[in-house]
Amino acid sequence: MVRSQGAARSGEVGVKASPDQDDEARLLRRVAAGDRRAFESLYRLYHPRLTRFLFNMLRKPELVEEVLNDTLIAVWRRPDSYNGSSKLSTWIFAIAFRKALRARSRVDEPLEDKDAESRPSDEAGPEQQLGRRQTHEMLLKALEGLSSDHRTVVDLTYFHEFGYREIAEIMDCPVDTVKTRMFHARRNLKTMLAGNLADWL
Amino acid sequence: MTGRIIPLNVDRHREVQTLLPWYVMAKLGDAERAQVETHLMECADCQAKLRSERRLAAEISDTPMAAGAFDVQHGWDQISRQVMEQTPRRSREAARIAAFIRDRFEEVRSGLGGTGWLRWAVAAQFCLILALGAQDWRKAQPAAYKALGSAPPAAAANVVVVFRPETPEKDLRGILRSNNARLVGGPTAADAYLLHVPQAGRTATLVRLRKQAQVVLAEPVDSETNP
Repeated sequence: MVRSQGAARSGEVGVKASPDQDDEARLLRRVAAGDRRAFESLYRLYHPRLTRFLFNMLRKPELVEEVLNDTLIAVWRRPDSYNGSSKLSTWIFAIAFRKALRARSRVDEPLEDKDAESRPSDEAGPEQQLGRRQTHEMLLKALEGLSSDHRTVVDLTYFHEFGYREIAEIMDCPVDTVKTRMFHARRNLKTMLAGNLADWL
Repeated sequence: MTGRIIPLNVDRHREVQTLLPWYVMAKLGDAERAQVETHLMECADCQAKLRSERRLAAEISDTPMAAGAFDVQHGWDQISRQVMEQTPRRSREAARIAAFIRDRFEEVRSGLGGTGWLRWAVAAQFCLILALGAQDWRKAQPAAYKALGSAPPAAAANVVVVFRPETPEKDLRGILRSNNARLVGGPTAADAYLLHVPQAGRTATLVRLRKQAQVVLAEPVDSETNP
């Protein structure tokens, strides 16, 4: 599934399929002209991508829905804020990131799952063969154990396929910070998956 | 002098391994990709890291979201009413300008004597002047967001005027003064000027301006508050 550098990018799984940048730019121009059908297309295009991104940041479904809609309404109201210097997706994800940070600062409860690292898996016993589903479950649990910033970098890289410069723009931080976060995220994943999946990490 | 060895290779490993996630995802530029590939050719350790990296990327990108899918239709139903009630800022301005120009076009076309192409050509020229003026008017609008300490915004234009080309500057200034008008923008490429006049007396001001021999056109334009 993972491509080597320069490999064809078509045939991605599920929500990752997206039109190219030109198509998206055309869609935004129609949105800027007040075309509601174009906005609905944009909404449906970004809903699954933002849902995953925001859930990884916020871990609360009700907040995810609120921030997602706030983000896309901001796109609808102010499409002229997009200056074309970055990809449209980078701009939209950056709006979502900022709104998610603000939403997270409003809630009192801790959103990080601090116990995830030490909690044993419910289903994967030591003698069990790791099937695909179990692999995913273990990986999810390990990802939940990462800090929000580390998890966001991992998700933006592997799932949403952003480069480190784009991630720096989305998260409004230096590129070296992105690289460092990724480095530590992988190291933490390896620690958390020790004895299970760590052989391939 | 001590013979301390600086492990240059460790830095190179670290540098390449830092880039591997984006190498695997085909997100590096040409120079960085070449740098990674050159190192990979001669480093078995980093080749092993690359295999691990590919596996990790494959697993993460295939891992479904923990909370299950959110329903896109439900989300759209929630915000579609807001979308119906509001339109993008730029489109509101564009629609207003387009409607203004369309109305003026019809007025000029129906008011002109003669027949056929001449009437249409004059009306079209008139509208081009307005369109250029309106374009500059939109650019002249104050920015939506201002930094703390910014100067207070200039009054928005509420009148567009076109003077006869031969009008001396002295006359132009006199007309502005006598109508308590302030210049907001212009002259545009079509020699249109954007003015702010006291809103309360704008209609009367427009009537006075239109009576001036030096004035070819005087029309209202309206700004609106930001969303």
